[in-house]
Amino acid sequence: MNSTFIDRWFERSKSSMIFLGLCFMLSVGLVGVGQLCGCRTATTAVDASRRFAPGLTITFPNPPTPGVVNLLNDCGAKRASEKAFVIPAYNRHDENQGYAIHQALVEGATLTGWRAPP
Amino acid sequence: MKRSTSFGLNQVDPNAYNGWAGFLNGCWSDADKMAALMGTAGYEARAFFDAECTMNRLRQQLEIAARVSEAGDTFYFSFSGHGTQSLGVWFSTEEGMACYDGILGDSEFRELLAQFKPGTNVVVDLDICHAGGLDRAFGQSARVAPLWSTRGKLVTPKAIVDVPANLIIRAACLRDELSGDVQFNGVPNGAYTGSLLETMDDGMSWRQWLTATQRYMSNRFPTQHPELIEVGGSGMADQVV
Repeated sequence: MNSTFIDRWFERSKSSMIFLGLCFMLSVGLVGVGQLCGCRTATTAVDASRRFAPGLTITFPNPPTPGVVNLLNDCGAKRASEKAFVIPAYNRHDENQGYAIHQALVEGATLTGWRAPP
Repeated sequence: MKRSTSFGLNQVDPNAYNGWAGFLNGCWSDADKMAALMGTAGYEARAFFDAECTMNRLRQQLEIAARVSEAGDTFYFSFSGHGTQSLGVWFSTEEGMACYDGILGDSEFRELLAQFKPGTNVVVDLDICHAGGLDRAFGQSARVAPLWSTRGKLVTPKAIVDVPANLIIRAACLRDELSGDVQFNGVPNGAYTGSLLETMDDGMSWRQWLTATQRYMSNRFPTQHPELIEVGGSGMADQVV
């Protein structure tokens, strides 16, 4: 069977084309992965440096009184240790949270930001 | 390290004020919510209320903060309660903060803030009447405002020399104005602190935050004009909260 010019050219350049194709796909993949990593890193950096923490850690100098413990439990706070509670989602319009936080502050508590572990 | 201390006085000791208890409604809420806000913003926040807010407690808190703060650290202090204005020397006025057991004057306040080391950042929010007058404590002995001075005649201080820290004071109102004790959606707050809470947004600088608050208050509380007092020109006001 007589081969056409295209067939002959394809036969000769097939391995080169495969090689170039692989190079192209590899480069696209690398750039894509790089961009994804870059975006993720940048987002994480902004989160860490600027965005307010969604929650609060309430740390007491002494174990909190039962009254304050009840208030914190009632507003959805989680006990983190003998002297610490976590409010995972602080909302200043939530009056139950506000009252519990006030009573905690009266007992000498310190407030710091809280974020869910990655 | 970032630390925050808030004072909220819904009343004072009548024994220290000739029988006057000075009841207010929004100061606890101010202190609670500013402490929580600063906590979420990365500060280690504490708050004190009423009888805890003595002159000695205020002195102690500022002295401790000044002692432990190093260059680059930030200390935030807010005071919600009554402010005072009295006749000083040669028709000048003297302003002060009404602590539970007495008035802490602007001169002593300056001395307390002067203890912070160079390079430390200090931010003070004063939600009290005559708050703008507290700026006079910062080294402008020549800046004597007569009692009959009007808002337009008051001069905002440019540079302060005797406080080594990078200091900004955000005052709830001008010297001759009063600060309101109001409600936001049924919850008591100071007009100024409540407006700060309403306008705070992620990534704002101290100056942007106050500008947003000024704009908000110009519509809702037009008789009160918050002002920013910068000490030293360190650019502190443009740092992100």
